[in-house]
Amino acid sequence: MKNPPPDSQLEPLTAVPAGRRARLAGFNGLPAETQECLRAYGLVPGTWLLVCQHAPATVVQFENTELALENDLAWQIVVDGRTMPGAGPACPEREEARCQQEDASLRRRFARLVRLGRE
Amino acid sequence: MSALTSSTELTAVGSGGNIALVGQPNVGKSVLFQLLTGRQTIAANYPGTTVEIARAEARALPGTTVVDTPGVVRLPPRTEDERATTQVLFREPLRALLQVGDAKNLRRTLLLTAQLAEMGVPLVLALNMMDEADQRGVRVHHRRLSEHLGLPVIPTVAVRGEGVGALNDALLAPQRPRFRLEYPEEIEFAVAEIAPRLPAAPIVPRALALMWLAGDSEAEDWLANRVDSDLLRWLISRRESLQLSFHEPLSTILQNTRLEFVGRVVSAVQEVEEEGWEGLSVRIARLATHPVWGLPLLGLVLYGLYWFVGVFGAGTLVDWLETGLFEQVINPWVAEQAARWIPVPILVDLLVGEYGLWTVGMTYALALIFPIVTTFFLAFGILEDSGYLPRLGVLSNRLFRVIGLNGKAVVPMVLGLGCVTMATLTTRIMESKRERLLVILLLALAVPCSAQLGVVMGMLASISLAATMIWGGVVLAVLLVVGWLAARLIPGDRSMLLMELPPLRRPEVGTVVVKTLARLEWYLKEVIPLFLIGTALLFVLDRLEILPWLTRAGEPLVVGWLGLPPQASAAFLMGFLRRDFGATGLFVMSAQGLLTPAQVVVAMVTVTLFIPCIASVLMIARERGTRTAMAITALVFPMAFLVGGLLSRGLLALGWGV
Repeated sequence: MKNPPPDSQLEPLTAVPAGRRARLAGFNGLPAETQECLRAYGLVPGTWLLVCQHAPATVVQFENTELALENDLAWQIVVDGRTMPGAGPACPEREEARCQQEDASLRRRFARLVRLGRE
Repeated sequence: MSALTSSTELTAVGSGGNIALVGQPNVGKSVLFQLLTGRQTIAANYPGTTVEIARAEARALPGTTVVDTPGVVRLPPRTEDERATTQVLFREPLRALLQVGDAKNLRRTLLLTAQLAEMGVPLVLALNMMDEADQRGVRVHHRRLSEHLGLPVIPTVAVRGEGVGALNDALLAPQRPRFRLEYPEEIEFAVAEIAPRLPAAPIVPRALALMWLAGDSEAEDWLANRVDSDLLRWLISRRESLQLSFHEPLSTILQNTRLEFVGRVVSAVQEVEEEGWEGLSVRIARLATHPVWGLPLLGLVLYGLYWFVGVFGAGTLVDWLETGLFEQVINPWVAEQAARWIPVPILVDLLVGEYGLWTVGMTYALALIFPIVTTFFLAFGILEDSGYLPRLGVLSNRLFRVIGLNGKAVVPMVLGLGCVTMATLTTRIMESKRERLLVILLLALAVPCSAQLGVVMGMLASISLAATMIWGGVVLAVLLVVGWLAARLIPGDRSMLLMELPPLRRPEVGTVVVKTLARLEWYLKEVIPLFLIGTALLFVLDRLEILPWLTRAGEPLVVGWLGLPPQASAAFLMGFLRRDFGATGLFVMSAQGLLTPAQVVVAMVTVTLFIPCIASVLMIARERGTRTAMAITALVFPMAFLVGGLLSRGLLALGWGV
């Protein structure tokens, strides 16, 4: 597998155009309580999110859940900028192994970003 | 980290005690409750339908009470209705917990299961909505899942009654899961230290210790009442010192451990054939929240509501019932019977006179109010069962932002259009005290309930569309201005919209009918006694010649300030009991030709801004305390008259409808 591209690939959920999928990397600056609530809905790093719309609020679909999020909240959700078209299987089987490996690197990169942000 | 589960370690528990239904919102707890008990609670396709705990005896398990709880997204709970789940754990004599889970959202379901299984209380998992999971290509191997968790897992389709027999069997001899999740070393060390020092509890000490570490308010309250101050201080300092070992809050660390376990179980027991399931309902659902297409759809919904409730309910049905049935058939017959059988004239008058219990109280309640609320609750039932309301919340989020709320408030606000008292109870789904207070204030001030709305609409429609627009515009403006001001005056931050959108479904006729009947029962129980008391009060005041005196006393306010005829005082007096009763009084005056169009609009605006009814004030006092109820009342009455008077002057200056 190629080395993952640098951190510039991470972007807020609000930057993902409606109709595309992106993979959740983490949460940036959200209160712990809100983060726990999002995770309880099943929003864990590595989940593919289908962005349905951004106005009047951001709506994302993942697994079989649909969540409406205020834009300011969606802005604090960080995803991998390499998006996929909305239609078709989200994480094709042949890509599954790659996805799993990338999960770990995505999480590492996100942790680094948050650390940098703190400093 | 591993879950040590083994079916050989299961221990059976004797009979007796209660079975509590717990689970995430909108997974079918109330439908299962109906199936298990044969009793009807209100179920809907939106979270927050069950805000109070319902209980009834199980049909298949004599002597066992089934307890229905509001949905919980996660533990520790965030909202008042979510707290009910942990309250059940501590306060109910539990025979077993029955978790209802959504089969197509396994991860979320199992996160809660992992927490509940730790409690050491017998647990059965009903994996509900298997049909929807199937339709979306999600296969769950429930036997394998049962082995992983060490507890019975029963697949069900509650709306069709499938799996209920197996569920009853599993609940006959519920077993304690021996479920143990290993947390990070530091946490395990702290739990081992804390657990032996805790008093005996309905849940195992380990679970109580974990709840304490996670900062669960119910566990904290329970412990604070049972341990001495030394131990409490030690518990607090132990939790604080443990927190120092981690960057993230302890509750997050615990949740992450559970999520990792759940993730492994999900990948072992679930197969997803295809993702991104797109049926027709999904496409309509997208339209409902679309910034452009959502509006015409909303317009269509509102028009349908107006036609069904306003034109059909308040027009056709009321005409038929009031003028046709009551005035021409029932009331003359009752009057005749009363005159024949009751020898005391004053009692005859009390029953069928000018302010008679039957001719006014019951006629208002049954001929005017009943058809209106029935059509409203039917329409509302269809709307909520379809899953449209949360989508309306998305559409209206920006409007709610202005008044310091978010789109979640749409559920209590729209329900308030049915019954403000019921809606006040539903504010428990709001996240902060501040938001609950804001919604309750606005409900009390500017949201007319269906009975009143019907009367108001009936009166205004008979004048002109402009009259309706002025009334609606003024009430909406008051709602926005007061909401905007209150949001700035009440301390605290607004919470951002974070709401699940349940799938859009075709409403089930049975569910809608059951719900409408349950709501009508509640409503009539509330409305008829108040109408009778109100009429009796009017009768007494009239007999003692106090009414004319009160009418005169109210003259400066009603005639001088609002510019209405003096008789309107009596209507406003009734408005203190119920604002729709007041509105009905004005309706009669208008029908007698005593009011000009401008006076009708002023009277309707004033009476709409009145406090809704005595029952709602009592509900506010119960939910938020007597002081809040008194403060809201003290704010609402002067506000109603202030706005009414200003409008009267404004209309006079413009020369509209004089």
